[in-house]
Amino acid sequence: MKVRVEENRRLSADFQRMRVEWPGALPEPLPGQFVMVRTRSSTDPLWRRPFGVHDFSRRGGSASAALLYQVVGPTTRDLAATAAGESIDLLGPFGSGFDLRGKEHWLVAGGRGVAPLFFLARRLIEGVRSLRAMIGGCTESHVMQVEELREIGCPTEVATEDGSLGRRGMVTDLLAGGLEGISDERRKDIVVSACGPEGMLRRVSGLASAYAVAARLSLDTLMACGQGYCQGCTVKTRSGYSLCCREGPVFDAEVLSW
Amino acid sequence: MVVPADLTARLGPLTLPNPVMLASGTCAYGLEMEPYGDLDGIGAIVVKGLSLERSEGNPPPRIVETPSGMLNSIGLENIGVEAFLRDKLPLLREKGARVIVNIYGQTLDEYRRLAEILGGAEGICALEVNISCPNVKKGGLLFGQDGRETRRVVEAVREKTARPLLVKLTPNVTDVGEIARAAVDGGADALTLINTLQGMAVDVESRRPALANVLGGLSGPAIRPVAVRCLWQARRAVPVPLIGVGGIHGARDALEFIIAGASAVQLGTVNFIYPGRWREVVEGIEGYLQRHGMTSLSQLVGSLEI
Repeated sequence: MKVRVEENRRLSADFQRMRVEWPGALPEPLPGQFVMVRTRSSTDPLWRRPFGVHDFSRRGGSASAALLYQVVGPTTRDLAATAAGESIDLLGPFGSGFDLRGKEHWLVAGGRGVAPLFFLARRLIEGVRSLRAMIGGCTESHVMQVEELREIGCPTEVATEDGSLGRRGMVTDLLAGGLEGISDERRKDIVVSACGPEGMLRRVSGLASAYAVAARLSLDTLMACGQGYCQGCTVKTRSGYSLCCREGPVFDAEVLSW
Repeated sequence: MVVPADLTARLGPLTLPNPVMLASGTCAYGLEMEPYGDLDGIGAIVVKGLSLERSEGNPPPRIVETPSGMLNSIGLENIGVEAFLRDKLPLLREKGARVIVNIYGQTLDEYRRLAEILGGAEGICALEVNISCPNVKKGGLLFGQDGRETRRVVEAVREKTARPLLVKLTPNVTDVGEIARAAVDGGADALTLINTLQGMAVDVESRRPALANVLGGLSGPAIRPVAVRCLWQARRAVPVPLIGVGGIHGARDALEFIIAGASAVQLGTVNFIYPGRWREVVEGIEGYLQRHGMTSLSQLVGSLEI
């Protein structure tokens, strides 16, 4: 489905944020769901690319969604070159969402993993739940949306591997420090929602297990269709294979078999 | 005035209202395609290859994108024939879908039992015998690469069912015509060409195969010329109706197969990218017939001039 680009803004050397109109024919997205995007009519690249919905809002009778993306390949290069008023081809929303239940939510993002977590933060704030975010990246220019998270009322800590912004180290160091400093009783109320590189997610999973907190991880796999036709995006779980596009992309850390 | 063209596809004992089918393994169990158009508008839906028992398929990674194509090694993950009959078929019938069931066994006996079980089920318009999957260790491709084995499998299924029988052939052979003849000798009513081409991709950073299964099946527009070639070679080898599949991305591609001798076509990989494309292909074929002053699809089938 063709959707019109309303705004496309450069945020840093290789991150951009695009806002597109959200047609009434599409279901309203939930935080954690994704869309499948195509920018060309040629057959190379062949597949659509999945993007977690970064934000969603309604104004009057119309709605719009935002995509936050890092320019890494042909599709994101095309996206970066798309001007307001032009259109992109989008299907969705697909997949499961994050869990909005729970008393206290900690959001942990690595690099572009902040994309779906911002949408989650906005929804959780609307429900006035206790919320904090931890954002990490290799360097300052890969740490996105920190001010925006603080603006909507989400306390946000930052870690960079080179120390150019926030604390020097990994975002999982922030998570480990946070979990260490609180009581067992409080940990029972915490839900960690994380999105980022696989190594980071494995570490989040390990910490969640060690400190007995619930964790929901948004995984990123290759997807040809995003809606269960190709059965290519399999992830290993304790009960067998699951499709990342349908049963995921958000999984309970404890069901995954890393 | 433009006269509507007759799009009826005649596949021996099987007649479909239009020649555009969805290929096995690219539309799950059919029901998943409903958001993109009423299922009864599709010529036929060939559901995911079924085995006797549920199969988990191959470990990930299972797919990788290649130039104008993709490799897959799904390994025939499926819910098993009984679960299909119980959970999927009644809903497909309710929607008016024409259902073709693709079957896959590791032994002749498994093919026979599948044919028996499905032979008695209402609401299935044909069986498609898969002897060409490159992604399973036993059976599959091993049957389809040998003329004698091909004939034995098709005969085994034929003995157990009177339903229309399609046999899906592999391009991974020296002589497609020989295998096509063997399938027809075994009792096939029509042939589907082609399954995926065996392929391989390497991740140069990790120096590992891109797929956990090492080898996979290549599909998408990249294979279309090979598919058209195989279809044409089969056309010259056997008299039964043929179904063309391989890299069809739009109506123009479907027309290539029809002109080369296909009585119907299947859309595969394109369903992943444009799940509603089947409708445009049906309309495109009809528009072509009208532009060329033809009143029925049968006038175009095999009209290739050399």
